[in-house]
Amino acid sequence: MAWIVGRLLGQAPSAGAVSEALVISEDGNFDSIKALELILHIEREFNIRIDDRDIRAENFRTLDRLVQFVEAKLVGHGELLMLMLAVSLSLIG
Amino acid sequence: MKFPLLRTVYRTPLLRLVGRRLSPTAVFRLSCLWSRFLWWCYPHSARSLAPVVALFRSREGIKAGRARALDHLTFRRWVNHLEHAWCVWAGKADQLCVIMGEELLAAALKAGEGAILLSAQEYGHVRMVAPVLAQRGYCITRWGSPVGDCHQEARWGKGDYARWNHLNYRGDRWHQFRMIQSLRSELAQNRVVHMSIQLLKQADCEYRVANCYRELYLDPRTIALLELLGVPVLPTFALMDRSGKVVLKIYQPIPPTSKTIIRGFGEIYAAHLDQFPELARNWRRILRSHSTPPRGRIATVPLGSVKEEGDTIPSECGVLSDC
Repeated sequence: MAWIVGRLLGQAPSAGAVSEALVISEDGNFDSIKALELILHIEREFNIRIDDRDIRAENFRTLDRLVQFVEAKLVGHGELLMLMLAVSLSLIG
Repeated sequence: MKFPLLRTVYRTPLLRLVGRRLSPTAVFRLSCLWSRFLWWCYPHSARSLAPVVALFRSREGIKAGRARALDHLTFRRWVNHLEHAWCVWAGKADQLCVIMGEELLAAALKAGEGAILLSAQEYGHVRMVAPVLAQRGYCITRWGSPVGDCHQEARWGKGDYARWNHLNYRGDRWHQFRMIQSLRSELAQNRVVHMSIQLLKQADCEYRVANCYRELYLDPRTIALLELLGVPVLPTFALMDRSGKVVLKIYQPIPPTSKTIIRGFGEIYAAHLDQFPELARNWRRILRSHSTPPRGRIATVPLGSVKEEGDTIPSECGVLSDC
């Protein structure tokens, strides 16, 4: 969150908690370069892949929505890994 | 009303057969003669090119400046013609095109992360880069203006030629974000991406392209995008030789940082502008936006400043006045 606030929105990260309702994508400075930086940062930090169809306004509107989106990707990623493990074990067994 | 003769010849089924049998070199010679005829006998041509003549004359003198402007007119007509004729001439790509530096592209693709070919917008046969390389067998994607414009779509038309992918970045910003993500996917599949960078009349001085004509700057947004994509960038210029052939010159890859791209690509671009200014199609736009030339002499980039071996501009290019 501090990265998003500081790098993308250009605001100094304050000592207090960052509001989850903080608007990201409605910021006039949120252009394609900043969007790409955000996507690259998320993919690197959480080791997930964001598809074209995930890039929608509702997923990036606020911090809260962004967090939910990343959590959903992580859960889906985890489920996929479990499924692949189950299939591998069944093939071996 | 303008009669689209070229479109008629190359898209009408019966006439396409005729077009297929035409020799590109012979058609180019005719195009040269036609351009000379227009220059001397059609006042509108000379009038519309008067600012460009003045620009070249300021550097090269009256006679050479006028010859250069005539080359410019010939080039503009040929660029348009070739795009219409590609749908029937693609099978003659060996006669129409020469690729120099192809081994550099092949070497860049060996890393498995794709390659970005960077050209200058509105310079040379920039729109032929993707068709030529697609015909050569590369999986290439063009990042550029929409193909949806009916005139542009009709220009390529139907025909037996290898296709290329096209990512259209125009639209609302969410469409742009999705297109950039698609661009990353294309690179991840080890495809070649071709994009062009615009010249601006204003930007920070670090983006300046040194040349003899006007204060020009590379587009910072394209450079920022290239830096974030993190894939080596190969400067690519599609020039033209005396017989009308497209000479595609691919230069050494540049590491994807803004400083190296500005310096590396900027030097090569400046050298091309100095040596072959007639291949730039944006002089009228630039001259309209620059009311007066800059004061003092702008340092030119000597051709030898492009340091890597093999990074020289082909000497056969650009001079058309022999035809």
